[in-house]
Order: sequence, then structure tokens, then C-alpha cells
Amino acid sequence: MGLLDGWLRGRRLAALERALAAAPRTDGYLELADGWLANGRHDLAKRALETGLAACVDADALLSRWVALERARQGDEIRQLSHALETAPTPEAYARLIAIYLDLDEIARAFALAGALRKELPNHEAGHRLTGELYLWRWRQDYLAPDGAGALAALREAAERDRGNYRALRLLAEAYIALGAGPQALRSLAALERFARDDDVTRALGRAARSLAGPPATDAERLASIELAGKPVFDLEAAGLATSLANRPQPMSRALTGRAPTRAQLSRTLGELAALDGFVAAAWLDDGGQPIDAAAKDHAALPDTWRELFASLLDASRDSSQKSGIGRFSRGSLDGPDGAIYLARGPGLGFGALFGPSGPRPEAVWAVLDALELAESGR
Amino acid sequence: MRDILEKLNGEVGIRGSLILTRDGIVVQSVLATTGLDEDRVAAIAGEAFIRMRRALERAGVGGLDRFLVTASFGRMIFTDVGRAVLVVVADRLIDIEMALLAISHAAYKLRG
Repeated sequence: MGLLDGWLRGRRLAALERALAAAPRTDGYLELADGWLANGRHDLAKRALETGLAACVDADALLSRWVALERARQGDEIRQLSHALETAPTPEAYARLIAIYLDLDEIARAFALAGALRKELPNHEAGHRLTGELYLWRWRQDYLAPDGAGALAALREAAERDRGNYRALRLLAEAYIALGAGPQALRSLAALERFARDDDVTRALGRAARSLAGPPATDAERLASIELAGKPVFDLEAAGLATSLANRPQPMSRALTGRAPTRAQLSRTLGELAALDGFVAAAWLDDGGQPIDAAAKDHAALPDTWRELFASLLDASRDSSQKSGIGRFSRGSLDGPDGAIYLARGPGLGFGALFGPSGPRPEAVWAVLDALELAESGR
Repeated sequence: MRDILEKLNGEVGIRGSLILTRDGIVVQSVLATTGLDEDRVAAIAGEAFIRMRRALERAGVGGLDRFLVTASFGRMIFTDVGRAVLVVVADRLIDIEMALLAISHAAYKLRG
């Protein structure tokens, strides 16, 4: 009976997979992954989650489950490496454990390990290079200036300690090219060309560096400008030249680039929200806190009180997230005795919605989630 | 208070926690093992809470029970505990329902 049960389950799961290919759903992919796990097929469960991540927009639940699966799978290796670091630490063991933690989204632990390696072997390039790689990886997510500055400083330290380190020099060149700093990139590439002249990637990076024109600026100025723009001067990933620094699937919403919402979409969202029970006011704001579009119950235009409220809360959320080191603010929710407020932020766009004590009802929260996703989509 | 925060920090995905007065002054913080700069996070959380409280007061919206901030690498959850505010820093991929239960429990104990 056990074998038959397994076979029947397998057929049912295959049918579910075909149905999801036609109509992807986050809950469907979770069900598929759970089904494969019950059948003892971790590999198919992981594949189901990765397929879902590529197909579904609101896929945080899929990424959480993927990380949990990986965490379980990699538990043994983590234990072995942790033991090795206590008894006979080597840069290779540190590097492998850092890669695993990065895979599992445990960024703080990855940074802490790189710091421990720098302390253990301060004159070895590995701790500085791994720190630089972590900062560079994080910088490529949100382009926050402190991460970019951290990457440059750490990779320069690594290159200083090992002037023949291919990876450190290449990453440093890539960072400078992304920054638009052609001359600095060419200096790193000159060091690389001493022993990797015929390397295709080195030549391609050289061409990219020489193509960069523009007025001279300091690293800090370039980093600040990129943080504001939310994108690099030269997109190495689009050009296929960026060194891969992390190997985990991204949620679909992160994969969306350059798809800022249209005004029609913003208006339509406001219309949907205004129809919900408990709606008081909602607004789309620009970076200066001025309304792009807004709706308010019982008012012809958005009262300044609500606009200022949304703008202040968005600014406080943005600053607290970035300055505390948890990254770029994307969404927030506030509950109180007088109602609920929902906030979201994307490049050039902020969103705020205020509901009274009675709403929105749970089923109507999907409309709010859609609005939050829309705000974030222009990455 | 420290015991309550340390127990809370033991929940999966919770990286650290602190207690602020309603004026944003840090009463107790346990953030040391998170890789975050404890003093910096505490100061920023205090400043953020004051800004949020003032914005709500100006708008006449009233008090704050809970404020949840999601960012690319983590979350911050502010919870009213009467005369103070509990601030929790968590992983982005935390099981939020379980975490909010643990935070509510800690808040209940802090209110006394």
C-alpha cells in the first residue's frame, strides 16, 4: 500500500505542477513543495519552490520555505565547518561557511565570520576580500552608499595584502566600473593584466572602463549619486560581466527592473482602496513628499494633514532602516486604537494609506498588498 | 527586563531587542550578538519612534500599538508597552506570525 500511495501522490503532484505552469500561484507551489517533501523528494521540492519564485510576484513565502529547506540540508556542513573553525581554522573553511550563510540569507552572521577571519589573520587577504564581497553583494541589492564604501575599502585592503589576487582585483575593478570611475577601474585592471592579459573578462572589463566618460568626482559623491538613482552608472550584471557573489533565487519582485508603475495603475489602485470599508485616505507621493495622486473619503483633495503624516512616516521608516543597517525600507504597517496605516516605498515613489478602526477587512487587505507591491515594483 | 529581552531574542529570527521610554531614551538593550552596532541602532530606534509619535500627534491619529518596518535585510517592530516601547530587530524571512506572538507575550510581561 505504501508504494501505491507514493505513486498516486506522485501522479497528483505532477498534475498540480502542470496546472501551476498554466496558472502560477504562491500557495500552489507551497503545496507542491510540501507534497514532494512528503514523498521524500527534497530535490523536487526545491525545484518547485524555485519555479514558483520565478513565476510568482508575491513570493516571500516561497523564499522562506526555500531557505528553510536549504538550512535543513546544509545543517551538517555548517556543524562540520563550525567545528573546523574552532579546532583548525583556515581561510577556506571561513569562505565556505560565509557562502552558506549568504545562501541562507543570514547576512549578519556572514559579516561576523568575515570579521572574525580578519581578526584571526589580519595580514591575510581573505578576511578583507570576503568582507568586500559581502559589502559588494549587499550594495548590488539596494545601492546604499555605506555598503559601496565598505566594499571599496575592504577590497583595496585585500589587494594591498596580495597584489596578485585575481578575485580581489577583479571585484575592485567591477566596483569602480559600476561607480562610473573609469581611471580607478583601469588601475585595478592594469594590476590584473600583469598576469591575466589574455583573460576575456579582463579585456571586456577594460573596454567597459574605457567607455566611461564624465566629470571627475570623489567615490563618496559617486556613491551618493547612485544611491539616489537606485542603479549603477554601468550595469555589469546586464552586460554579463559581474562576478556572481551569491547563489540563491531572488523573489520575482526583485527581478523586476525598470517597470515603474504607470499613472493609470496608481489611480486604479486608489480607486480600489477607496471602495474598501474603513478607508480614510491614501496617496502616492514623490521623493519630496508631494502627492502624485491621492484620494480621501469625504474630501475633494487630500488634506495636508494626511499628506504630512504619510511623508513623515515614510521618511522616519527610510532613515531608521538604512541607518540601523537592516537595508532599504520597502514596506510598513502601523496599528493603533484609531486605525491602521500602510506604507511602502520604491524608487521615486512613496505610498501611504490610512484606514479607520474598522478596516480594512481581512479579505480586503489583498488590495492593500497589491498597492504595496506596486510601489516596490520599480526596481 | 533584561531577562525578558534575552528570552525574546532566543526566538528564531529575532536578532535583538531594546526598550525605549516614550521620549526615545534607551532603558535596556540586548543587541550585542546581532552584528549590528548596538549604540547606533538604539539611538536610531529612539529617534524614529519620536518622529513617528509626533507625526501621529500632529495628524490627530492617536496612539500606536504596533509599527512594523520591513527592509531588504531585516525588520524592526515597535510595540507599545504602556510607559515604554519595545523595539525588536528581526531577520527579513522570519515567521512573522510566531514572532508577533512572542513579541506580544514579551510586551504583556513588560506592562506588568
